[in-house]
Amino acid sequence: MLKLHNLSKYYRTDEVETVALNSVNIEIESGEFVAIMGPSGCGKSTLLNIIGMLDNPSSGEYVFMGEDVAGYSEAKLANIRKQNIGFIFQSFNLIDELTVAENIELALLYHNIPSKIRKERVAHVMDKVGIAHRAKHMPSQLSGGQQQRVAVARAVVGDQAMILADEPTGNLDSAHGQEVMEMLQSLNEEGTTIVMVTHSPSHADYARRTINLFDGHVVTENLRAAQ
Amino acid sequence: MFQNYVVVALRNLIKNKLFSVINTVGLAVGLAACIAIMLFVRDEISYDKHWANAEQLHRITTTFKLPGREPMPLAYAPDVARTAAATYFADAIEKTTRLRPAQPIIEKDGNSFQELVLQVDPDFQDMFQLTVLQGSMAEVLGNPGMIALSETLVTKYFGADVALGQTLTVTIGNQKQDAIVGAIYEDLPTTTALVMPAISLYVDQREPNFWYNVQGMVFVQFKEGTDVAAFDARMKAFVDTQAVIPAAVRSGNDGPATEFLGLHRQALVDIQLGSSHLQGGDFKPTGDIARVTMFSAIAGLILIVGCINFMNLAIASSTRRAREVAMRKVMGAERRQLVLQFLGESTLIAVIGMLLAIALVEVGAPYLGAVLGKELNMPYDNLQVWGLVGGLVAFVGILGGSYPALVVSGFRPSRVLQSSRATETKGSNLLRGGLVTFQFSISIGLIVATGVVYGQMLYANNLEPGFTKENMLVVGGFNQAAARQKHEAFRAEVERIQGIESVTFGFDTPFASSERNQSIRVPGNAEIGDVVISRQTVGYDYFKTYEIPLLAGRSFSRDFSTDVFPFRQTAPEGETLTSAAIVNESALKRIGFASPDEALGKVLNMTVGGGNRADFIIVGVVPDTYFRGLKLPVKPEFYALWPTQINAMTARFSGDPAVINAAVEDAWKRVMQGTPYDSQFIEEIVGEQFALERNTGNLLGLFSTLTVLIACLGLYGLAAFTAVRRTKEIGVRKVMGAQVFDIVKLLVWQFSKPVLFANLIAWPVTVWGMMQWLETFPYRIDAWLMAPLCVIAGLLALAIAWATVGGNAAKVARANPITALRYE
Repeated sequence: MLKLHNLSKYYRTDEVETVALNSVNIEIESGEFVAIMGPSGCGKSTLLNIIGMLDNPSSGEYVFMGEDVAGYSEAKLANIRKQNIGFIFQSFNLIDELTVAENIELALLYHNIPSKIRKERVAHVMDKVGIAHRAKHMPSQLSGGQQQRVAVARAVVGDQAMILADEPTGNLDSAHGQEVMEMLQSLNEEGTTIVMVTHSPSHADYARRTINLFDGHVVTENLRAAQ
Repeated sequence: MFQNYVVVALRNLIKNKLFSVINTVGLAVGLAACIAIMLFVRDEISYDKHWANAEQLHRITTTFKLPGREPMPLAYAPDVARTAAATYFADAIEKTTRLRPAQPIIEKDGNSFQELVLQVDPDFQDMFQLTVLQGSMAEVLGNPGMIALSETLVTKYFGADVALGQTLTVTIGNQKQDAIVGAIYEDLPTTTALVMPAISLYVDQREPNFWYNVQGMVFVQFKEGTDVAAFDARMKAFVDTQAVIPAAVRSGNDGPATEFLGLHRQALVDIQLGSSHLQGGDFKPTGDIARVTMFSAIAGLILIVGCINFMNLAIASSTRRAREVAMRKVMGAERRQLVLQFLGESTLIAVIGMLLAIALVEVGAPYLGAVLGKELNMPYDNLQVWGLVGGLVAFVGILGGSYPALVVSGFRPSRVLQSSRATETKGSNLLRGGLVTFQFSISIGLIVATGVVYGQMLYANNLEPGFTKENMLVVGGFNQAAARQKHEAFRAEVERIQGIESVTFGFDTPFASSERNQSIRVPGNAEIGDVVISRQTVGYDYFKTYEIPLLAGRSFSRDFSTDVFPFRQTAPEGETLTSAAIVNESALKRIGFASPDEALGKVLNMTVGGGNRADFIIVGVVPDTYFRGLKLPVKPEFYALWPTQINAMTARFSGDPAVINAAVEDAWKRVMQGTPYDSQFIEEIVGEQFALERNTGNLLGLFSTLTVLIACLGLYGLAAFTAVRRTKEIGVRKVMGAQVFDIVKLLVWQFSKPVLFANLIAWPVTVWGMMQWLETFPYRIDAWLMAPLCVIAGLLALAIAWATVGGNAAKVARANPITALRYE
């Protein structure tokens, strides 16, 4: 699905250069469930942002579905992204002014899909994550677990091949965290590639492979035997 | 997608009520002021464009240039200039007419009124093409015994009765004649500088040949395709070759005629806004291009202040919107789509603001119109106006949405989503500060301008004209022979009224601005030659009534029969005709007397009509007075006693002015039966002198208040926003021991900086502008008075800013720090 080769990312200010990622080499196959772990500031989120094309690498190669996208323009990246990648964030990032259904629909808005089909797909995915009864509510009226379910629904409503989850359970209690993990697992079983950043070893266990990052380097890769 | 944008926009509006209200109200008030001013400007620039021949019609104006005197530009032109120009410019001029305003008494069924009747030449109707409802203008202009009336006068004199063919009695001076109503025409629209209540043929008593005398306006109609610039270029040669300058004016100077007389062309459509330099002659007060420019500028400034609120709140809320932008980008939105979304949102607010503004204009325009003396209405059927409204909405929408559209749409989602770091940059802070500074510069500038205009008005109102203006009643109408003949009887009646202290008759009334000049010689001072100075003819008790003190000598007296102006008298064989004169201080200087006492007994020699000359012995010296007008420079002047050449009576009184006026009116009716009573208090006349300035001052006051209000609204919103943004900082400071007062100081100081800085921009610009404005007044407040005004305006702005942000700051500062720190 994607391949990072010698990929680095630096942040420069006038005085300091911070290395976020240092010659990272990662390959992720279609249908994989990969967890990325590491201490705070090791470059996990930066890695995820680059994989998700929200950020550009400073150097190195990023091949996504056979295309080297490292030097692509913002508009081109936006196009690849909206076709293929869904996002889930720790802080949900729902838009406060939109209802649950509208937030999910947002993912389809930039796809030129007719309104009727959009509505059907939104209804379908809301059923799937069990949030249909909250369709007309505003995010602020929902619990954290419910909000994250909406975020999951928004990530998958476009039938994206890959979901990038940045600490999806970080703001949830353990029961709700469990719930979200199970949702991700079932999505993976249906064929969606999942890349997840997490601090929780138990949640990392849902993944088939764990990549450990430290100071911008990949230090270990642990493979779990198929269950 | 569009629906989604609208939903987000509307929910944003509802969610952030405070900002929505600030935005829309600020914009609405700004737009309303802008539209109202544009209606005014549109009215001003539309003057006289309705005439069928508007483009071809021009009037000739005159500048009299008396040696040693300021030139005197007038809207009138010599009668003879009409015929002379028609011949000289035969290739360019097609038609000509004079418009001579006569003020006859018109009588019908025992009622009499003084009316303005325009006496015109036969070409008039072809040139101006009035809409004739009944009768024929050609017949009226071919028959001196006929008169044409406007609809208004028809209604006044005939009501619903048939007017055409009826007879009115018209008295001009001592000529009384019957006039048959030969035509009735539509009233002129309000948008004309001309006034035409009634029209009759101008009958010359003799062939006009005086180039140094004006009676009314002269209009010419150019042939199609006439080169106006070429015409103007030939004007000097025309005057030099055709005009005859009287020897008395020349005073021995053989220079070309244009040294003494200037004739100029002025397009009819330019009269309204291009005549403020003229010292008299226009039929009604004209507009002023400076005023129109000033108000247009204010319209723009108010709108900009409103837009700045809009931009500032958009910048401030961009932090809040950043996450939405990031998420939309994550979902695949392109920048172009976000730009459109933001511009659409701000345009929506602009549309709401505009709807409110139109409602405000609908309510406010009649009041504004009343102040401006115009009918101001929103012309809903006018495409141009709608184009303007659309243009304003687009302008405001694009300007208001520019920051989010250009900057926020470019935020990188990874940054925004990754951290709770504020998306505020140094740049956005600087831009916001700059905008607030700009806003307050405008506010401070307008406050200073208002102060200067009011100050000048106050100064002018309190300017001592050099004579008593309180408790003075002027009664006119003595230009009618009937009234003039009975003036002594009337004086006797008036003097009997209790409270009347002194009565005098004279030719001029205060601030009538007309003047007569006399060429004098000073025997024994050949060096100075002929000097032209103003002549004012007065009656007995003039100086006593006006309480003008004598610096030396005596006033005119009944005890000296030779004090009376010896009009057309001949001296006995071998003797010199003598009379008496009183001069003002400027005349002393002009003639060269060192002191009032030195002037006493000196002689001024001048013509007295009928080809005779007389020696006028200076019997008294008085101070300069602003009798001709507070806006006109004082001129060298002498007074002559001429008890029978009178236009008006002035009475000084004590007691209730209304009671006195009523008693004088009674006396008038008893003595003058049939002549209309016409009176005015001098204080009213003084008030009229500065009516336009007062008007301008009031409007400036109104608009600067609005501007300050809008700016404050914006500041309030911004303060509220900043307080929220700095909640955490405030919490930390309080935990560290900061007191409520420290926090308030912190927040208030943040907003004081741009206001203080605004002074640096506002002061020089405004002072420069207002000095230009003050230049137009011969008597004006000292320019240095603007210094304290600037400081006051700056302090006022600061006080207003503090009051605006202080309340909010106090609230935020009092909050529990724990709540503040829990935030985020």
